[in-house]
Amino acid sequence: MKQARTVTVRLEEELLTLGRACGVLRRHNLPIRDFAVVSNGHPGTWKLSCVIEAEDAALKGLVLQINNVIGVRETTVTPSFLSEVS
Amino acid sequence: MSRLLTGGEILCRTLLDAGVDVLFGYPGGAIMPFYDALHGHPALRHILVRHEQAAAHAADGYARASNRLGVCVATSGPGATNLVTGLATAHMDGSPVLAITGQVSRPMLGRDAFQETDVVGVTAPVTKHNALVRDVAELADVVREAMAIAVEGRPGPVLVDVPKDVQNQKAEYESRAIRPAKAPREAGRPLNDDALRDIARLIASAERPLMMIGRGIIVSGAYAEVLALAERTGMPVITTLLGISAFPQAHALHLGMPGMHGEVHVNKAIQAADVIVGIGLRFDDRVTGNTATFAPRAKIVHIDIDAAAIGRNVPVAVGIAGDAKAVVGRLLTFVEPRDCARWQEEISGLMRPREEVFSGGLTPETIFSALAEVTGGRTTIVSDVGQHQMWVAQRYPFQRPNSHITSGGLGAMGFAVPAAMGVHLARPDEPVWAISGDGGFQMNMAEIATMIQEGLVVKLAIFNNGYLGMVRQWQQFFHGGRYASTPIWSPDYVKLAAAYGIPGWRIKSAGELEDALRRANQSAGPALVELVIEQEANVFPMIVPGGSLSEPLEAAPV
Repeated sequence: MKQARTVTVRLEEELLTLGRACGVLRRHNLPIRDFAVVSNGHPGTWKLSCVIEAEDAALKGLVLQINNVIGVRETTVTPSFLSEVS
Repeated sequence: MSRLLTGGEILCRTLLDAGVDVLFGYPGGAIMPFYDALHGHPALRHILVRHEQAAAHAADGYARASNRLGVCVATSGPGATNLVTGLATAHMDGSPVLAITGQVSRPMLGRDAFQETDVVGVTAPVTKHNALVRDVAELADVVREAMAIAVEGRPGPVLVDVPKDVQNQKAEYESRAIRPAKAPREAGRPLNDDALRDIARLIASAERPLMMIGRGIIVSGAYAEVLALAERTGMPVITTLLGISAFPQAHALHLGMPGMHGEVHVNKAIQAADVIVGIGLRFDDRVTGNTATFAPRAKIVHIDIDAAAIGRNVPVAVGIAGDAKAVVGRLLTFVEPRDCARWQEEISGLMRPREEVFSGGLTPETIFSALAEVTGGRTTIVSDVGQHQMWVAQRYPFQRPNSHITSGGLGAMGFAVPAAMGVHLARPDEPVWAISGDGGFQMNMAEIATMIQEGLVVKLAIFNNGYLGMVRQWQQFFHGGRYASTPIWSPDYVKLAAAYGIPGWRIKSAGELEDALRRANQSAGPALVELVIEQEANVFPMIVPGGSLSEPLEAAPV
């Protein structure tokens, strides 16, 4: 079912890694409703968060491909509060 | 003990310490300090190509044939961007290639300096990893890490961009081994025996099981395990384009190639199968046709090193992320012996003889039978992209593991000639044949000069039909026969060979074939054989793009 979820990517604080992770997001061409990068998490890492509305299978494929990016530590998917208000 | 070295020298030493002994490249302004250092390191053999694209393809060919890292080098700007097609080819097919590029000096970065290109940005989508080295003190570690990433998990290309001033800077160098390969996250977990038991149960209960194998078998070296699994279960084996030569072609269980130009009985077997065990393949669109109609009755088992490939294109009943050799080896402990005699008989009933009429009797079948006879099977076939590539895949009787190399995923015309140079260096004791069409050959034929200068022995076969044949075939079938820009003129290839000082033959009939191929194969250096084939021959069968494997074209649509 198509549903908005928050994808959170914890990655090394390196623009190249961020660029590659964003490249995977871009290639999948999914609607991104919110996007943020913060550095207030674990030391040496950044946290990329975005809200994506997609089918489960599309999201699963996306997460596995982001996990393949060198420098990505962890990718998680959680229900988005946006899905509750929309 | 550490020594104070320049960045250029550190690059050379890091490569040597990693066991690299050959690199393909082309010098230029921003990479000159590295080439200066290379001059003092004769153990690193540098092959001067005629275009950087060829350097990347040659490094890829070397990597595929040797199962080691291939290395290519280019300068900044155009040198670096010329590598892109070769890197993309290696990326799609999972081949470990290290590209080293020169970059403008650090103070000039971002100022649109002469020959400045953001090659790290340009190559990010077509490499597994890349990096710009900002300090000579980190150069060796960056290169070592890139080399480790290139070969581990699903192999792939990496690029290290080194500014010119970093190549000139000095730093302490300490010889160090590359870190051991890490398994990818999901593939690194212990094998799930419950999932393996599920697969064994599926195989045991299936009436029409099939095995489909891809390049993952070759990368993993899982030949014996796959053969044992096939023989224990009687499952017929299908090899994808990149899986060709992962299983002996003449084996009774081998069916052939699936997909767009797969044989009718192979595709029909897929459509009738109730279990498909896919190992080391991606189930890409050229294999599946329309995924909505692919293998409608089959439960699909997918084993691949890349967890992201599992379930991406086709839904799977059981998926295991892992190395093919390890997974199939373990699977064998759960699989009970059985046979599939009735199913094999059913598939045999779907086979049909080929009926081909080519001028001069120069059919693909005749050509490849003669080539196999002449080489005694002791050769590696490197094919380019197009009709001839499909004929090679359908007809050449590959028997030895990893004896077929081609650009599968990217489908890069111009691949064969330079990639064959890399194959020659990986396998210097046997002939390598680069088989091209007249279009692809003309893309990189300047590399004959590289072969002569560097003493590389590559045998060149050109399927000359005066057309960009595969595009012409699509124009004939799907664009009303309007041959827009597909007729292609060629030079006199025999004279071209003579201009490079190598022997050349033009063959127009089957009767001349074997003698020319034999003489070319036996000649000491490169040799060229032009095969003048039927101009408007088509590759059959064919699945219409996006069509179902159940509906093959066996003749041109009217």
